[in-house]
Amino acid sequence: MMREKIEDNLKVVNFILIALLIVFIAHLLSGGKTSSTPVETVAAKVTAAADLTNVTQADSQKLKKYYGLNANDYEGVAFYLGNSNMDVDEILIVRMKDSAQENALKDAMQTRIDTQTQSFEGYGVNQTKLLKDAVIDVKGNYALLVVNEKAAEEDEAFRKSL
Amino acid sequence: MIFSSIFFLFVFLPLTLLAYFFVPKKAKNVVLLICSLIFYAWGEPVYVLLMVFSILYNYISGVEIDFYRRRGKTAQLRFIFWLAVGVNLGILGFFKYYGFLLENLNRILPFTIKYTPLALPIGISFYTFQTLSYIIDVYRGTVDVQKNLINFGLYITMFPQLIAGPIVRYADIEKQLTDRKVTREGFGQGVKFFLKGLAKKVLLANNIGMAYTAISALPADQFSTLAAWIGAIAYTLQIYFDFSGYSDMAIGLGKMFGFTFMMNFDHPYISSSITEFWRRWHISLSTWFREYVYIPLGGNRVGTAKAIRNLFIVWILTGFWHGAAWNFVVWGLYYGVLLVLEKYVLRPVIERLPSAVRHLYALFFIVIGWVIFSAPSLSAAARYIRVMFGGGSAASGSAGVYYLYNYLLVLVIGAVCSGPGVTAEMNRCIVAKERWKRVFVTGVYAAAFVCSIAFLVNATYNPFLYFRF
Repeated sequence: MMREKIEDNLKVVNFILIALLIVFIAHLLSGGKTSSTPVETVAAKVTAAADLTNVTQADSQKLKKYYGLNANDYEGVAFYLGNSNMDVDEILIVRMKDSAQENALKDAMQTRIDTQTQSFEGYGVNQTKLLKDAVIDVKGNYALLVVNEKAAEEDEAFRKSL
Repeated sequence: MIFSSIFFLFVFLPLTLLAYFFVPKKAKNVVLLICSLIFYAWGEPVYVLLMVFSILYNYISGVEIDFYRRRGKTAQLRFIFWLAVGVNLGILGFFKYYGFLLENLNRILPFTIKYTPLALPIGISFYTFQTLSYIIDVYRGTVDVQKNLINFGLYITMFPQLIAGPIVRYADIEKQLTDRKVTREGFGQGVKFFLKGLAKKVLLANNIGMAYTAISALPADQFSTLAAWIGAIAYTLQIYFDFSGYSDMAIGLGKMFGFTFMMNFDHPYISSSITEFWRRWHISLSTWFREYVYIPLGGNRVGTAKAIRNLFIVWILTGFWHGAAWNFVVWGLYYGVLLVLEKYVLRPVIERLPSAVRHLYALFFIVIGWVIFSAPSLSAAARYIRVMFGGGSAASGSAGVYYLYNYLLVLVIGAVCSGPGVTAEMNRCIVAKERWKRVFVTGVYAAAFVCSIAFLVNATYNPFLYFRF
């Protein structure tokens, strides 16, 4: 009799656990929503707000070289790099596949800014200022890095485009 | 946390071993359970809650199933059993396929459903299959219910094989959870396995993988047929050394704590047929599907049509198990078709071929299979395969020649090491009568460890390929 009661209570515990699981999943789903806007559209809106004199579009090999990232790992990538070694201007827009990619991507972006800052600190006053004002922004499944005179405007355009 | 990281090798593992050997026998499972939860929480601070749920829920379900089975209450027994199977598969299905489902719905619907993309909890495919094996075996009455929550928790979370297998069936480890011994020889064997796996991952997989990464990122005007083949062969070797390296490390760590896990790989690239390949590749997954899907469906003891259906069900599920993308489904189907053809049509032909031709035949289809598997999408896989056969590429061979020149040596080393010769020779030397042979092999393992550390110090984060699954 006693045993039956314990087994019945176990059933109740199991249903409580299932209810807790549902709450847990609901909490996870209440995070940032994804945007289905294609990366090309976001890039077009961001670059429209930018000063593109010092940058040109770069390929996935450059992305691997400077950020250690594989373009194939992401849903989409738009990358603009400075025209010369003295141009620190850069725009990187990445559409992630899932939120698991967010931390590594942000780390790679921050590492790039830190490396560039180390390179120019002490002699490239303008470059250092641009790097200090650089923007790294993540919204939903999109991440942005901008080093540009108009970084704040580009960030605004980025957020509006999603 | 990954095995091939400085933190794991020099902080987590030594501290865990110290704690494990320092505490009395009764507390060893508690120590391993706590360390395993810390190990998991290190990379998944949120999803560790999901794991705790899985432990508690399946523990209670097991106790209930056993209770109703012994009392002959069939209706309640079936309800609890199917609920447990449904909850486990539901969790796996939700976390693995919800994004995939919505993404595909958004492609066909006239409106867009906005959703929050969720990260895949690491190791969920592996530990869910372990919990299912326990629940099914308790339901069948082939194993005793585990009434000790610590022992059950340890079975689910054991850090050596938690993240990428081998998938350990409860029946295989039941006794070891309560009765195991760490001997000096066993510990030494464990260290040997671990070092072999570490070298496979860090020295071979990571270096060979650089060729595939570089080649798959080549712009169309440089992506030649030669480059495509080098990339495909590089990935074929990379995924073997990466995954079997992880399995070796897992088996080695298990031995250090007194556990014996099943072998997960048996030199798959020496196979002479696709059937043989799948007897040698990811053995614990094939065994799981055979035990819990193929045989319950009737296996091959039913008519030919049903046996073919059973094979296709298993291979579609195998494809889906690997990931939420169409290329995994097609990859599973691809092997389903090949295995059915081998079983019912090609076997007499293949058996008459010279062994070198049989080997080439198997390798050819294995390499093509990995292209489908590794591509970011089905269309990318089709483009890649087209270039491999000379179509759709106007590129000169210069990039291919460049990569051949740079990676030929490492590819040859990889090919040699993927066979059984090197391991067999090392094993012979380690028990040889001549002292110099034993010293030599010890030196090789020590050198592999030092070289691996040297690579790791300068490496960027480089997780195992199978962490995705």
